[in-house]
Amino acid sequence: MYNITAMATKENDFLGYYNKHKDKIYNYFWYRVGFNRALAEDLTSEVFLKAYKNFDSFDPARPFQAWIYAVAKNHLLNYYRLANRETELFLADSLAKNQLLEIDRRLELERIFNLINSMADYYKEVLFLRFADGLDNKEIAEALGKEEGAIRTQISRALEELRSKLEESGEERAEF
Amino acid sequence: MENNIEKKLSGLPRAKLSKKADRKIRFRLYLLMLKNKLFNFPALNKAGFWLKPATSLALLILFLFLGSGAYAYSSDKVTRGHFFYPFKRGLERVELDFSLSQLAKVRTYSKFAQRRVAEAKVLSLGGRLSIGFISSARAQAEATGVDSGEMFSYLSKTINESVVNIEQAKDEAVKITAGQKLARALEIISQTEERQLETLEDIAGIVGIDTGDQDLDSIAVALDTVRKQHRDIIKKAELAAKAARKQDKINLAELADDDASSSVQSEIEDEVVASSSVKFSDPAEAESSLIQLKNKIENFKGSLKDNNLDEEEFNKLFDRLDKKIETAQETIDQGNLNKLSGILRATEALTNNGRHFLRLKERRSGDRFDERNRLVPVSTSTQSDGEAEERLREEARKQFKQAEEEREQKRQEELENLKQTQEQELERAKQAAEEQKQVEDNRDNQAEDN
Repeated sequence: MYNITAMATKENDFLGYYNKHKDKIYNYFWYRVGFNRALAEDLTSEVFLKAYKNFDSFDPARPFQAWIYAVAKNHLLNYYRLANRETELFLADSLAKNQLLEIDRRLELERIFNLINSMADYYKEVLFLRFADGLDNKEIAEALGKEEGAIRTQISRALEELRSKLEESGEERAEF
Repeated sequence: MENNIEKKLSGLPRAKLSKKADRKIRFRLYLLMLKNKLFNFPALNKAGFWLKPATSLALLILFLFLGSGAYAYSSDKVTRGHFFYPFKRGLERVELDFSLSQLAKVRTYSKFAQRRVAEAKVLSLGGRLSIGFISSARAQAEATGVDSGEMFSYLSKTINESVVNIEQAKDEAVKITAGQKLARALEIISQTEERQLETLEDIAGIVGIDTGDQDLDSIAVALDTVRKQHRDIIKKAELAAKAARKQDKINLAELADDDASSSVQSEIEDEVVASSSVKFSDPAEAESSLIQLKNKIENFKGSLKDNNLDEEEFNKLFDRLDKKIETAQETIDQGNLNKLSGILRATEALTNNGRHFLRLKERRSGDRFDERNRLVPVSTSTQSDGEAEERLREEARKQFKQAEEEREQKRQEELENLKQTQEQELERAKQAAEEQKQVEDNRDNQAEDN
């Protein structure tokens, strides 16, 4: 039989998840599409619409965050495939410079950001998820479908590599 | 030491969704939830196959009868940023729902691609074509204080969408197996790409070489992508037509490259290996691609010299190319090879299509460059229309330049204000520190006296 109450609960649940995670998903795209606000907004909208259409396949026993991050990641990869937007990598850097340079105290962050962008994809991904998206190790592990211990090791190695890149670029040890 | 890096990384900015975007997303979610609720009624569900298009048709008719809906749907002047644009896009989704076969979907996506590129042309003219009491995107932007930078991102986003729509049309064509239908689908895609190329060349001429990096790259890369794909589609359309005449079943993936036509392709233009599909893992490989690209730029320079170009325009174009080459070299020197393919792609695209952005000393409006950078004049009968169009382009270029200068001035003012604020804060902090020191000194002196 048609169950109005069940349907209303489903909508409310989804809207609750949307309220909780909309900024995180927007931030996720914002970092990965060259800080293009309009594009990040569109991608965020598409992801939540896609997620709602497939909400029946979501297992409530699992964390919603991991699920929505997986949807977002696939959507981003599809976007790049269809739009062939590898120039974004170039645009991301020039936009980062324009934005971050405007604030003197963030010049250092700009340098670190550019170095992270030059690292291997798996290191870049965990560093952004950890520091740009603000996820903890457990949440990153859920989002990427890996063990928490493995994520901890990966982050540690990524930071080690970042440290040596900073040293190579002439940063003084004393500052760190 | 790692803790210090982590502390610094924790300072990376976090973006939040704007209220306006949040409202738009919620609206779309509510519509989707409402649609789902309607389709989940068992009685309605029995309608089955016809329900979705029937509901869509009802909504379409309702909206068209509202008059403004009809206008929004058909007008190229309703562009991204315009009040009615979301309605226009909503109606397009309805139109797609009604495209039931693969061939129909190819037609629909091709139509969307043409619409996007027509909208891009309106945007490139500064969105200056206003319609009665409904102001254009630019006028709205000015009234609401939207940054002119956002207008520019509308242009590049609209162009990108046009390219994506053609890709979507091809994705549908891949599913067609009947020879005749495939031939027709490829013909539609080929015609759409031809019109896209013409309009993109016009847009390049309108915005000119002075436009910002984002728009320049978007237009150049779109021209490059569509032109390369168009050659491929023409070949495949011919093969599909042959198969259709033999009434063979065939699909797009099986259409092999013809050896004869690939030699024609190489006559037209040398393709540089440094395309976006190449991922560089070895700096030597990257250097080699960069050298090839530099040679190509030199050949391009040589080919343009005889075309009576405005010298200032010529120099501007090659300054921009040189700047991109410098950036590419820096990227290789820094070992940042992940970023390199994007830069090389943008540079290659600008080399292949830079001529379309240029003004001539004595160019007659409508004159076009062919594939070998030779100027092909149009007949004099089109001159008077062409002159009006040229005046329009000139005006649009001036508007773009003015908007760029305003944006730069605003950025400098903000930076200046920020520096002043920081200096004031530093000064206040110093004063506070001195006062604190004085208080402590006084306390010490008092203690000594006691």
